[in-house]
Amino acid sequence: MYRFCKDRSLNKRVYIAVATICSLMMQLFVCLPVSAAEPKQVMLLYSFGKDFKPWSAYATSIRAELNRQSPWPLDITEYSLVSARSGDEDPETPFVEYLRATFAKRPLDLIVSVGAPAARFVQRHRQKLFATTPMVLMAVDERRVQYSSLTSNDTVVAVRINYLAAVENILKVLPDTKDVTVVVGTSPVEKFWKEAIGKELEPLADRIRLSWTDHLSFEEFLKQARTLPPNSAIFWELMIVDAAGVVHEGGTALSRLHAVANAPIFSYDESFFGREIVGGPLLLVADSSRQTAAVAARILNGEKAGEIRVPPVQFASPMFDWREMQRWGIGENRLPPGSQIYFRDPTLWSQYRWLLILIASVILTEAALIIGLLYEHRRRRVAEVQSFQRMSELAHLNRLATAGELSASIAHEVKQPLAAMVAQSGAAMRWLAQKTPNLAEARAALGKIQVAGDRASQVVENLRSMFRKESSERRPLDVNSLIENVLGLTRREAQKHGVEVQVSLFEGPMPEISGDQAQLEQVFLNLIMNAIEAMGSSTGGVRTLEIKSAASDTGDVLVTVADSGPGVPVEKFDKIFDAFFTTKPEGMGMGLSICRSIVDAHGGRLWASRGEPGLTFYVWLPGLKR
Amino acid sequence: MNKRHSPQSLVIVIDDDALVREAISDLLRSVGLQTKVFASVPEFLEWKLPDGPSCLVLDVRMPGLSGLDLQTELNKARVHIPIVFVTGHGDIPMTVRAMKGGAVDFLAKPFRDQDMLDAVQAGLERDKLRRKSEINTAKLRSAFDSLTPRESEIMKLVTAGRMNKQIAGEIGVSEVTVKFHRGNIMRKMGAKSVAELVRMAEVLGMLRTED
Repeated sequence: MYRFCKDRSLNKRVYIAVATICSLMMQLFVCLPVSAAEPKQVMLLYSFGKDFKPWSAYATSIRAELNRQSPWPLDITEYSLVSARSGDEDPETPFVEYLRATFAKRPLDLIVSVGAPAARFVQRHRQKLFATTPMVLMAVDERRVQYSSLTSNDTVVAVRINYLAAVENILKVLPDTKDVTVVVGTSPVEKFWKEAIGKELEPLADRIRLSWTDHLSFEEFLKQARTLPPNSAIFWELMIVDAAGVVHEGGTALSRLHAVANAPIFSYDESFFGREIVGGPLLLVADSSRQTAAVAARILNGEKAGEIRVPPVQFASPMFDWREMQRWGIGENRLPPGSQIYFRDPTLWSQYRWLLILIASVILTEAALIIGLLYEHRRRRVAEVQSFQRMSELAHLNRLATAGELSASIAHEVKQPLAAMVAQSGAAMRWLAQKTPNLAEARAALGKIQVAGDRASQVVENLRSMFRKESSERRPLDVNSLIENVLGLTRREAQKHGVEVQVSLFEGPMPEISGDQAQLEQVFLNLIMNAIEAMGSSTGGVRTLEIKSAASDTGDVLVTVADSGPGVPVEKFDKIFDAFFTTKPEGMGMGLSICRSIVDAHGGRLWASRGEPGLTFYVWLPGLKR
Repeated sequence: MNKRHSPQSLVIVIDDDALVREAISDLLRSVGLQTKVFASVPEFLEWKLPDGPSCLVLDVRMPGLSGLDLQTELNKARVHIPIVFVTGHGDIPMTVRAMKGGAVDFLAKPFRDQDMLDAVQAGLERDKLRRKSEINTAKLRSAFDSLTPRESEIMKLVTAGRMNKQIAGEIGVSEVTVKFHRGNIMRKMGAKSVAELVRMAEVLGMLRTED
């Protein structure tokens, strides 16, 4: 700045230079945005409308590819050729006029026609509409291209539909196929293909019967498709206009057919793939679009369209729909080499692997746990049965021991009625031996012998049931009569030890309990014998044995056996039910332990309390109702 | 058969087992004996024993007072009624105790009917004899009581084997007086000889006092 101020002439030169550079830069800056902001005008012309399969797929794909591959911004205008559905060319006229008006002031840089009808249209009206605009014809089978009318501004990205390969694919994956119905309508393009396909499939004439649908309305065909003969296949060519003149959209029609058809459906183009068709070698939309976009880019870049030659797009590697393979029983081994399988249902395993592992492990763990518990349960049952058997055996030994102790009383009980019988029979004989036999007295004596005999057998029966080895079935028992049986046997013992026995049994109907008579009698026998012996060993004091029975409303029975003996010291009281605990010098210490086991086995309870003096034992047994 | 037993003879049966006591009673009745049955000793004790020859048939073991207890009690009360014991299961110590206590017999159940009849018979005989001797003793006692003190004194000396001369010397009277008293004594006591008088003195228990 300092120098500028000092030397004006220098300043002036510098100023001019800077201004020149600035203006150059401005020009540069203005030029670049202008070239970038001017998008290339591209028209896409579809044969039947953007939404008609298979061209709908091309519409989406080509737009994306053009935008991707073009270095310039593109202004894409799209049109559909409605007239292609019929052979009538009249409806074209207004459309041609419309296009001419539209593009008169806005020249197009490129025209891309999609499908054969569109190709035909642009070729036919080229001179009138876009004489010098370069054109790319795509998605058109090479058989449908009028190569003769191509100009130096035209190029073709053709496809080659190999119908023979497509039908051979059917025969490969379903070798039993006999009938192939080709779905085709009545529009010009469809008519063309009917003829072309018929010609191309001639080599297979001896293997399959071909039939066509162009003589039927699509609805009629749908009806037929329900009941196609076995070993049929359907080849989906095109269904644009049926015999009744109804226009169909390819995708919807195919779906409707798929919903009712009793035969597998095949086709030639990827755009039909995805639910309805089984698969096979297919034309890939992407292949055509990529090629076309590449060619378009070269043309926009200035290359002469007529000089660009690209080979037709062929079938790609076969692709199959796994769901349809399952439906028609096509094994993977029948697919041609290099086939791709799509839509394979993800197996539960792959989808829920960890969940399944978790569930399985939980189930396994639980199963193991259950098995373990069952095993434990069984072992416990076995142990319980064994312990019950041991208890029964011990109980029997204990009964035998008690029987030994009671032998004197038992003998007495048996001898009493025997003595009566002997005496009475002696009396009877003497009554009869008198000069005038006293028959009345003799008869009375005989009657008493009978009574005594009955009592003797009753005594023996009681003894047998009380001391038998095998445990009997549980049966309803009257506890009072059990107590009386035991008292009958122990009465003498009580007398011997000077024990007064006070009995107060439940009055009124005694509720029955379920049990083993021998075992329960043994319980009372043990308790009573213990009491008698305890009091017998004591010196002085009143020797009273009190036996009571009571019943509850619920049918439970409580028997109390109380003695006035010396009892058991507090510190030993807790142990009285333990095995091998005894206060008797000659005792084995099993009696009360066995009693408790027996009562427990009957679902009852045996417990004791310390009285003043002596001990009181309680036997509680559940009633039958429980 | 009936004539062998005087009508007053009574057999008392005590057994807590009705079947047994009835059987014994019936057996005894079939040979014409009178019987009386009791279910327990206390019942029997409340009853007044009639005068006349009798015999007890007792079960050794009974609730409350047992047969052996009764025997002991009767011996204490000097009631000398013969006892026939019956038992279901008798042991030797029990048998010995019963026999020492004066039991007539000890029968184990079931006893033979004839054994029971024989035992009861023996008991009744013994009772009759006892009763007879008790009557004789009572007569002697009253005869002895009718003696004067001097006669009583002289009788003691005579039955002790003293000569008349010795007695006269001991009590300070003449020998004739002793002879006179002796005559009275022999008459009052109904003794025909000195030997008989000595036996009477023995029954009256006079001899022991000399020892």
